[in-house]
Amino acid sequence: MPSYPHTQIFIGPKCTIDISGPHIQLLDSATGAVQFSTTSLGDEEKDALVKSGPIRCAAVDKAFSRLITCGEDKMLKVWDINIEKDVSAIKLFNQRELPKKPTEIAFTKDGQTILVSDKFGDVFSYPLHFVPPTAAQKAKRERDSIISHENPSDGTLILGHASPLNAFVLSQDEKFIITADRDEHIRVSWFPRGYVIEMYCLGHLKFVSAVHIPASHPELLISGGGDPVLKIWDWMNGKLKHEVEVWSAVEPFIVEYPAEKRKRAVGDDVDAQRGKEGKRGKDEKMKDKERQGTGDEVEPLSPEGTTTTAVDQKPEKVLVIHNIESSRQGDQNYVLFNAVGSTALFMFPYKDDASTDDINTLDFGRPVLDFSVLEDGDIMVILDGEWKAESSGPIAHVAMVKISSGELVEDKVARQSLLDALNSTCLLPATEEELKKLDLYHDLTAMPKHSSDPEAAAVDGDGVVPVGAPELSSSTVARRKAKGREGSEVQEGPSKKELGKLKARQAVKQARQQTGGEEEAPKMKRVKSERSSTDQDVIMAGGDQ
Amino acid sequence: MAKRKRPAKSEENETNNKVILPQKKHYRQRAHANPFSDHSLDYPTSPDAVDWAIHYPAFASSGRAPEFADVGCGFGGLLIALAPLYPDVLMLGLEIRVQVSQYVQDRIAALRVSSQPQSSPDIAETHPAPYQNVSVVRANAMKFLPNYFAKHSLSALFFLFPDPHFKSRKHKARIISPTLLAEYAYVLRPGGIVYTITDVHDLHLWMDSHLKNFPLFEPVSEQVLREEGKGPIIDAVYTSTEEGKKVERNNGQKWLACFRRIEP
Repeated sequence: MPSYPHTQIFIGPKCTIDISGPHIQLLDSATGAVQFSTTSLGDEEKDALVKSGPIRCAAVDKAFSRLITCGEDKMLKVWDINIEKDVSAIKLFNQRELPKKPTEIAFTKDGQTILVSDKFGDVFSYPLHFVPPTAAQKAKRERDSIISHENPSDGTLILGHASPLNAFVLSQDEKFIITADRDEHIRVSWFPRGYVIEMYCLGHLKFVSAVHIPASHPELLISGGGDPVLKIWDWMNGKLKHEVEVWSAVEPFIVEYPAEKRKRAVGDDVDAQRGKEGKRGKDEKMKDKERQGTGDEVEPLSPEGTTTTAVDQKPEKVLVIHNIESSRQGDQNYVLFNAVGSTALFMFPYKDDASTDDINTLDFGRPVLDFSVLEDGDIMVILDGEWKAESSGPIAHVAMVKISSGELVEDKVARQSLLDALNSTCLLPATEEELKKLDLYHDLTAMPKHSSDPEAAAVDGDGVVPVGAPELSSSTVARRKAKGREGSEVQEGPSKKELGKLKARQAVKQARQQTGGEEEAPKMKRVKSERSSTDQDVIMAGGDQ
Repeated sequence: MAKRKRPAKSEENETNNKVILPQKKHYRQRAHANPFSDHSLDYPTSPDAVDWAIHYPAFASSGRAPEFADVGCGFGGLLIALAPLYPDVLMLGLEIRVQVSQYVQDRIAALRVSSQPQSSPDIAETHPAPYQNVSVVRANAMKFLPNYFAKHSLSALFFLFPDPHFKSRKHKARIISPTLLAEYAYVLRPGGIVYTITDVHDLHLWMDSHLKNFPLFEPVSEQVLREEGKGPIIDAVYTSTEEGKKVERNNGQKWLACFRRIEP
């Protein structure tokens, strides 16, 4: 029977907490003996736990006295960790409902405050002790028409982005909170007064999924996500210090691919771009025929259009940086990171001119799910032990790694008893269905952005911003519009609307030529100047019709 | 989309402009956009990456950036009204709807061309040509405002007749919320003004109370602003936009609420 890969493991001086699927286990850090497991709870409690679904987020306070978890049910649970001679146990301390699915949870250093970032883009803080709102308070909230955020457990709204938050980190002095979102932003806000934004660290071109402040350099922030580089920032003033290209190092180790949204035929990519625009079925078939005839609509409607994949090709590899940490060995600091669906752990020595060539890798032959740097500088790596059964050797779910003369090496001696236990007695059985539910590589599909704005994608091409071939896209637009109205009947050439616009633009252009201001003609909307040269052609071409 | 009869002429429609000015009927679009979806937007990675000279060629050598931002500028009425009043202030409209932003772009281009002959050469020496100080971008301001505007770079932010998102389920999509106010406070310099106006009383209460409760904004009355010489701005806020005019035609009421950015 397969078993759950470990979701998270917290190794403390005395005890170790292991999260596997919906369950929590408490181990003796020295012997690896399982002292407590939620699998041995009474049926009722256990059922409730399993019903909450696999634990997605977890954190332990500095003192190892409390654990917080959250499963799929948006219930934030605080657990008491009791370590006593005979009766070590983990007991539910309190639980409260979160407004949205969390993406990360953390304790402040004093262990008195819990911070939660969520899919809606907000960060809430909650006191450790929970006083449930009274029915009257709840009722009052419901009547209040000025409430902007759902807040079932009376949390304090620290800040919010209008994009899903992927990661956050508190500065070492806990006076700032740094949040990273799916729309490339890294925001530096005051903490706890998150309404004061100190700075943004802008420069990522894709989502940001991991941020880290090295203990040795509290003024630096290392960030990564979908971009082929890790960026190192002076976060207080938002200045990029340097970046390290990592894609070429990571790419060979990526073995998992994004799930395909739906099966589609080769060349069907334009339809995929249109998303859920309704009016499907017949129109689609017509369109396919039409395309074979003219072949022109295959023209990509948006930059994404070129990357959509056909069914019989392997999907493209996607980079999602999962975790970034740092470790200090003597005088040298090392930056460690892993990527979703890749089989290696990566490391480079932190220095101003660090480059791809400095990246050291350790391949485990199966995807690295997570890793953490322990107090003594050793690194614990969690692997997908159930990944493709054909892989040889003993199944490993957890590995220990150390940095030795600047290289990552597997350490089979350190914490051997604990390691053995985590790879054997601690493994909890899981059904295939339960494993599927874990959806370990979901981020590969969910993180990258796909245009869901088909109309804009098409119209963009014709010239809000004058880009690319206008006649083509404007006729595509016209055709689509015609379809919307008259079913499958196809209208060739630009619509009245388009002609009207072009007429006015043509007139403007002529007037501009007359006044001699031609060369410096304003190219509004064009941020990237190299494209503005096509603007001229756009207007000319449009006018010819 | 509601079908409305509309006079084809607009106030700038002087004889020489007739052909040049874009017509709204060619740019009609659904009035709502989902601010949370991944639109295929083209936006700068950071304010440093914006070449404002492309937007304001007459100011290319000044190295200046916009100081007024009209969030959800619609058909651009406010920008067009303010442009001649503050010829030295750069203004940017942000509009999420493709067609509408395109209209504003074409409108500004036309106005720049058609207004040029009016300015006599000696004035042109000292003043930039008309409408050189306004521009527009298609942008989702809820997500990408900090991509356009650096910290404390704006002196005025306008939210004129924003989408009311009536259903309470949709309130989170409103352009004023405690979390978004933090971004507005970031791009506004201390002393800068937020102007809000709406014909929907519930939305007025919403915007007014969220701004009042936000620690970095304090209410400032219309009277005080007028005393400070911002009367022309207030007048434009009331009357220059298409929505503002529509409300007037229907004899509707307008609620204005303005706030000053203060230090934390």
